[in-house]
Amino acid sequence: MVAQAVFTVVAGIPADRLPALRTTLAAVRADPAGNALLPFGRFDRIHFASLVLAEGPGLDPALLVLELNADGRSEACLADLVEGAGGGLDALFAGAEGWPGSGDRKAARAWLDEHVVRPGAYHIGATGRTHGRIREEARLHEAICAYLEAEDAAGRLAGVSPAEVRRRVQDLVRGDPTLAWARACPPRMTGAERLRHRIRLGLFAAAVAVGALVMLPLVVAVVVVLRVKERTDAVQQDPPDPERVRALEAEEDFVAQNHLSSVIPVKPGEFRRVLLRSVLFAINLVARVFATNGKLGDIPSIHFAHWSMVNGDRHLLFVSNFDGSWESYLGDFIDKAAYGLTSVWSNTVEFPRTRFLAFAGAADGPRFRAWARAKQCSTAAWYSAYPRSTMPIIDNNTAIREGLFARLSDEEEAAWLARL
Amino acid sequence: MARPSVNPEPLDTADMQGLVARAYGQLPNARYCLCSVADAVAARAWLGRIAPQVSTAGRRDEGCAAVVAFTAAGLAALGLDEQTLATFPRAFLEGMVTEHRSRILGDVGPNDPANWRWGGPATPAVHVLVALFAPSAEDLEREHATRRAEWAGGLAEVTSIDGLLQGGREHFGFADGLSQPVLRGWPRRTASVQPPAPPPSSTWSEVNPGEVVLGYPDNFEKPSEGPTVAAGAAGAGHLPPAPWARGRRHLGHNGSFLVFRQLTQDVAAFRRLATAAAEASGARGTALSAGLVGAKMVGRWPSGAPVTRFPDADPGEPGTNDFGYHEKDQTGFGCPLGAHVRRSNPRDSSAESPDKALRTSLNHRILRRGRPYGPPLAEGVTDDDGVDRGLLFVCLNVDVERQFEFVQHTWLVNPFFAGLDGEVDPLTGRPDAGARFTVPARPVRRRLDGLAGLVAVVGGGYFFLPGVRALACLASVGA
Repeated sequence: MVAQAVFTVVAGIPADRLPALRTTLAAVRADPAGNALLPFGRFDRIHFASLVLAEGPGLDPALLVLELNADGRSEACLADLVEGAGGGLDALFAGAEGWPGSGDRKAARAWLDEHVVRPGAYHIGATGRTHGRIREEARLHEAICAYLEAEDAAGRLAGVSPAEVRRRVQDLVRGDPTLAWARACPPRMTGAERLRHRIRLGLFAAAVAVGALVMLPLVVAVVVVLRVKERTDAVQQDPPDPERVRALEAEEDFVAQNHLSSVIPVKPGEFRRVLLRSVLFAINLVARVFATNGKLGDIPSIHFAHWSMVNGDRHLLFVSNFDGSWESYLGDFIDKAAYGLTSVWSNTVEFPRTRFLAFAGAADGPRFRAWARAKQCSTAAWYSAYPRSTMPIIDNNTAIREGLFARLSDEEEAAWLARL
Repeated sequence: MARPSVNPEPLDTADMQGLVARAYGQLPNARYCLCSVADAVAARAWLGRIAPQVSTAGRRDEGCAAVVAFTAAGLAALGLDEQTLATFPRAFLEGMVTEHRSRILGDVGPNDPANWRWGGPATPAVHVLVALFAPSAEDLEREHATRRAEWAGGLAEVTSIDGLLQGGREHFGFADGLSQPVLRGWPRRTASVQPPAPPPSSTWSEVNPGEVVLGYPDNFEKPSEGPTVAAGAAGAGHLPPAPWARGRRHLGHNGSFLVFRQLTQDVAAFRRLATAAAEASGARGTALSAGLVGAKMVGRWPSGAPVTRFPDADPGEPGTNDFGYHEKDQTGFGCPLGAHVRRSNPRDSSAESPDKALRTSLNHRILRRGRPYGPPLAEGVTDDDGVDRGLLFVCLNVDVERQFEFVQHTWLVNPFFAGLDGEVDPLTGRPDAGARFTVPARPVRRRLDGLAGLVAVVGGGYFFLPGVRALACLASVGA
């Protein structure tokens, strides 16, 4: 399996550099795949990327966030960028403290590596599949479809058994040298990786159980403090500024996916900070074990999403690349994942009223949506390597390849044919 | 489905306009008068007079029925102050026609609001909807004349459209209005279709009343919150307090938001499409009948019988509405994933767990109150007769973004609905050239190509349907 790096590069940008930076961001935004400065489309390992400029209370200097979701290690991805888009990086980071300039490639790489923020919790939809593999598997499905259409139009599929149809498709793939790669199929995740994630989660769960018993008084104290805070923490009163929401909407719903970003102040005090770190840690362990088949809980639409603590743990950064509209994404949050999201975001300011960390909060749909819009950043530039491929389509293409030459029961064979 | 039952709060039906409770099946003739406010003072005086006369949910109407609703521009024209207007939801204030809404609702290309007959940027502003329902055409004319005389000077009629029930069938020939949300604690109503349908099933359709009527617990067990007015405002004294906004009263109480869209239907094109697809399938060895093609596109047979339960032929009556998709038809061999009724209400099929999927579907239901307009196209005719006909789509919901718009953009016109790739609702979705409709079949699925636009949007708007006391309150604004 190919490890994917899900990370951001975060740097403070002094106020006097912001006008120039905005010009750069606008240039990238105009053509994220092919612009002259940072042409994301030229880097094959990148799945999704974004640039976010976070400004506002407590953000002095403003933070420039470069989000990258890429195949391989973060160091390799950043080295590619230094090599292929050094001028663009200079334009972005010129004002940032210590930026050595891309001329000194080694120093630039080191600086970027130092400014990498690894998410506290993340989700990958297409676990273990490279950008190249996603593209190739889409081509495989297309080739099979074209073949079946031609066969069907000629009346050659009438009355043919499922096994025979699959055999003919196998012949098609065997006979096409450009599809030679499809004759074998690597796993999405190796057994060893699965085991490692399960052991980690198991150990953590055991430690929590033992710890909670041993330190019962502490747990009780935490719950009491939490309940007091939950009753008194300020919540957002007003709906979001309609002008800002309109500006956000103006950028949405052009391709199959959308992007959402936010940089929200963590509630003041060590208590919330520690609680938030712990929740992210736990969610991350759970996600590694249970969210490996394209779905996060019952949400089938997320390609890459990360939560990171930034700005000295004073802010929570969220970036997500998801299928469908903002409204349907938030609807999924509310309908299918309210507990988890509430546990995380209730530690940030003005979140709707919660109970016992995970309850209420996001389940109050109208207030949660109003809060999410009010806290959302305008994504300055956003790149999707496959803007017409939803998560279910990517997974279906992989399942077609996985089943193509596999030993299948009659039932599995029928299910495989239904995927074509 | 496990959802804690709400302590059934008595529904104040006498304060709700009748459209909330009924579709006026016994009053087949309807006229939707779209008016503008000509004179605010006179319009408010008219509103004060008509408020006690509107049809209410509390009693069945003898003779004719009238229902009154307002656009955001209408409330402003009536003289509602800005501070009160700002408490209305953004979707209502902006209206149906914004660049973003047009994009997500599919109102682009042939549906572009620039070409609309009403409600678009190029047509006169619509402020007030007065919907009249009558037992006969003559009664309707009489009622309209009376009402028009009443509003004379206050309102100016921009346009009016007549709706006519045709045995519960829409113009393509299918029984319509079968799957409605059932409001918990409210008597269940049976759709008025011929042959008759069984009563709706609570398992698949029950929602809390606050999903349709403001002020009652919604599916999240919190009272649905509508617009508010200052407690001291004229006429506000009869409204209940708004507990979430200090010093304010709930102007939305017993009200709802009404979505209105005028859709034209090309019946001849639908028939030609079904016939052509059937002929093409014959050439491929396994023939589908034109009737089956239509049923697969709709997800129901003309009688209303669900194709997921009756995959081979129309049983001739609606049969049952008590069905899901998850257990027996997850892959769509009975009812295709992209069929119109499966997109409009996916029931238990949109997630891994059927319980969760159903709970999700129930959070995005709308109460439909529309009816067809224009004369039917004669049986068997496959050439367009040039006569205007279609559907006056009307629905009620408390949250236009979570309900009507969600159904439209996430389900109906979403090219990627349920894992599909590049397909939209074959009936209402205005497929692009080259778009297709996948019909799961054995050994492999059949793709219907050559889909064409069968339905076009030619008008629309978002309206506020106030409760009766709220109507009286609105009659006193600016006084």
